[in-house]
Formats: sequence, structure tokens, C-alpha cells
Amino acid sequence: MLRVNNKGRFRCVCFFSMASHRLENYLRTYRKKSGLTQQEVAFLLGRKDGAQFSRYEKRYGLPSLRIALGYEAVFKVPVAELFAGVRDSVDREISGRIDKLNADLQEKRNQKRNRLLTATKLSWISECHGPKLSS
Amino acid sequence: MPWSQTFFLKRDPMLSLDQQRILALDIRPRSFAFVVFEGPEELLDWGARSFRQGVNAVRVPLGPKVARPLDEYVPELVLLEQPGTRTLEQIVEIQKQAEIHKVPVRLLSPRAVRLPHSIAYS
Repeated sequence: MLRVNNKGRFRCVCFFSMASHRLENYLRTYRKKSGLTQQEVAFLLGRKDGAQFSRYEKRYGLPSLRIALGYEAVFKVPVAELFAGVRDSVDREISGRIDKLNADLQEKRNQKRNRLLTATKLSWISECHGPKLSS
Repeated sequence: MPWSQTFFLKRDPMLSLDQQRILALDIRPRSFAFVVFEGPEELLDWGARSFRQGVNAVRVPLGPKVARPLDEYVPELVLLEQPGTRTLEQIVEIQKQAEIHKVPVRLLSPRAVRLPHSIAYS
């Protein structure tokens, strides 16, 4: 079930699973791995009280950009990884909107007005977000 | 390939190794320890909680204490070692909580708990 391997790392046997989403954030995991207390993290991020950080760890709210970047600087882990679930959900939303924008632009493609600009946008979408089905 | 991954892939090759969360509990008569894994390599959280009775009884009983990691980590599975006579009551309570959270519980015999270890490091 739970084991410590010869490198001192924990491992487990995985018996069962369903596809699941990542957690909204992994702040507690990285903090506990570092051995720091919430109070110490609060100090490092320039706050006196660790209570708000406890709320972030319990996913009761999202920290400000300044605090999020502070976490990145403290744990040396990118914000996108610390807030993996948030990032996934933002990615999904943006991807859906990109598809919609792409479809709209495809419709305008043959219109005389702003043809060049539309082509530039479509080319950018294809380049940055991969070729879309409708293009 | 790590032994744990080999075991996992035999069961369902379509699943992502990195996304599954498992809550493993070590139940004692007056306390329990928990570990949360995401995938076979990533340790998310760990700790121990007491639910002693009598004069020094804790305010929060076993049920809500077990419910907390279930709420926080939404695991796909709860792993427990098969209960002895002293932990049967606690296991029943944990199964009740897991049922409320719609998380399946898997009981392992003490021998099964030790078996992968012996395969991996023999």
C-alpha cells in the first residue's frame, strides 16, 4: 500500500482510478514538503498572520497576483504548477473561446473588409493554438 | 518501469497515472494516520489525527476528521488495512464517511499490504 523506497521517497500501489481533475492548488503540498509552517510562509510573503494562507491552502479563495508570485519565489515552483487546477480550468475556458473566435473569423474570411487583418488573426491562432478544425 | 506503475497499467492502461488521488489510512484504536497520493510518485499530504475517548476526549470525533481529507482531496479511492477487533468500529465509521462522499473503499489484508514491498525490493 504505502512504501518508502530505497531513495527514501514514498510510493504507493494504485489499485483503482477514475479520470479526475487536478486540485485547484498545491500550496499545502509544497509547504509541507519544505517543512515550513503557515506562519513562516506568511512571514516570507511579508504578512504577519498565517490565517489567510490557511484559507488559500484549503482552497477557500484565490490569492492576489502579488501573493501568487510570492509563492512562486518562495517554493521555486511556477505559478501554473502551484495553481494547476486553476490553470487547467482557465486553459479549457480559453480554448473554448479560441474555437469560437476562430469560427467567427472563418466566417469573415471572405469578406472584403479587413481581409488581411482577418488572415493575420487566423494565422496567429493557427500558430499559437494549433490548427483548428474549421480552418 | 516502476513496480507500482506496472501494477496499475495491468488494471487499466487507459488511465492517466498522474491524476489519480488515493487516500490511505492507518487506523489505530484512538488515532489514525493518513497519506494522500496523486499518481504513484507524488505525495500530496500526510498527517495523524487523534479521536481518543474518555476524560481526554477530543472535541471533533472520527467521522468529521476523516471527512476533511475526503472533502479536500476528493480521492478516487480510500485504502485501508483489514480491521482487527480493536479497529472494527472505526473502519465502519470511515466506510460510512466514504459512502457519503461516494468514494470506494478497498480493504487490504496485512499480507497484501506487505506483498508489493517484497516484490519490489526482493
